Amino acid sequence: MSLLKAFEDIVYAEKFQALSGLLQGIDPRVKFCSLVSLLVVAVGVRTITPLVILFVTITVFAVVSKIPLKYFFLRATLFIPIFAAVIALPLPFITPGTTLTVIGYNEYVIYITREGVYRALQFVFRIWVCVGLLVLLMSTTRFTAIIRALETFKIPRVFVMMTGVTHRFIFLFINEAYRMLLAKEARNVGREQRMQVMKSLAYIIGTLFIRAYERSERVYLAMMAKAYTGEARSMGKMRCSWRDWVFGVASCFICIIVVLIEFLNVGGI
Amino acid sequence: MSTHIPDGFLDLQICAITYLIVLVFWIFAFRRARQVLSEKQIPLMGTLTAMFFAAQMMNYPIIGGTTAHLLGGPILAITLGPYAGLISMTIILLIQALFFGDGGITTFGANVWNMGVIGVFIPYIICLIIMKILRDRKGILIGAFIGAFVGDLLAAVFAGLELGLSTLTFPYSVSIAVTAMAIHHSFIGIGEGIVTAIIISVLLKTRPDLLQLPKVSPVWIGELPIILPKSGGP
Repeated sequence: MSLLKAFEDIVYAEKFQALSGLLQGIDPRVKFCSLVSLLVVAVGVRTITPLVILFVTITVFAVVSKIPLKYFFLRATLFIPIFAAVIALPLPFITPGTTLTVIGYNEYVIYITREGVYRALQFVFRIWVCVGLLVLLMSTTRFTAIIRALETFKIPRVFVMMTGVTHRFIFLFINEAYRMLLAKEARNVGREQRMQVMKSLAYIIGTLFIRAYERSERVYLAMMAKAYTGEARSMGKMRCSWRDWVFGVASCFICIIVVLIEFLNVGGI
Repeated sequence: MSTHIPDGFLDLQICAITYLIVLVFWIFAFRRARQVLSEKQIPLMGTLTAMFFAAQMMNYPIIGGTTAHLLGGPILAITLGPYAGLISMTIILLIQALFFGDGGITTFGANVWNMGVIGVFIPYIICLIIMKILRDRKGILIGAFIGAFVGDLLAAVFAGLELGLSTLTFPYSVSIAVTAMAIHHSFIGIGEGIVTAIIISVLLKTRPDLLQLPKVSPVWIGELPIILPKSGGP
């Protein structure tokens, strides 16, 4: 993941997090639990039909959350599922089973089997559904809401506070790293040796490390000035409305249906 | 392939087992962190974690036209101690998974085991052993290089092992997955080792006090011996 792509991702995700769609309005705890249960079910299934149901479900979720489908499908398809497809590429040729077609002539032939094609399709499709669910969660939930949800899940305070501080300073350091890289590029003449690239990168990271340490002292003083005692208190309480309950129950229902279809193996595929 | 395993690549059993093992490490890490860390260190660890997050996005070329990026586990371990390194890596992986979609939720335990436990504890232990033998500046540099190399390689081997053992979801066997990951990451590991050692040497030259921060490390492993700066000192 490169620096610029990361920025682009965040800008897009924040744009959709601010929309008034269905998922954006759901309590982050309920949403997290519901989408994670769907994810666990998706990882567990072995046949195509349940995956199609999950695919339809997340597409509907994306539509009612006002996420443009073009963005959603691009974001969910690029990189990880394509990588999975590359991994699955040899499967149709190496899996034993009934022959679908034969490629080549004379004794130089490769058999493509029905089982192999099925295995490859099932592998890539399942990964697509998983990535789609993660994209759905990312583009409808602010990270601060996730941090607040973590607080209620009995996660140690140290962790929640550190995550909060980290999240606040990520963009600053990404920006700083980017400026340092740019400055380095501006001083460069000609092509650098591989070792030279690593060395200058290590110097940049070393400098960033020192700057981060010095900043942390100022951050601490600023926190002290705002009456920091090592404890964190969050303002306001999260409350579940009837909408959240309906959403949670509906997701459970979908999970149960998918698991039932998987076990009964309706349709055979 | 990076060592970030996305959702859907690992069987649920493997996910559950890795979550359970990592949970034990988390419990010990947070218990120790509560004893050792003062309230001043929470902003320190938070900002350093953010900085390593940014550092992970900078790529450098390795052999064969491919690029790699720093994992940062070894440096976190050497500067803050392995438990603190584990907590930092957990935060980095959490934000990468939930904010950037890099990694996964069901595979989170496995990713934390590979990069937050193996990628942090192994470099720390190796560095500690080498520094016990060579008690000077060279010791910490050699330790950082070898530690980072072995840590990275083992993290990749574990990732391959988890993928290979996921017979239901991942289509290839253990031997194929482990070999592929190990070959690729032995090159990446050399890069990680070189960059780590240079960063440590930069810190030794400019701010050696940053290598002597209070460390959150398990009692049974012990702390890194202190290296005094070349000039100055008693």
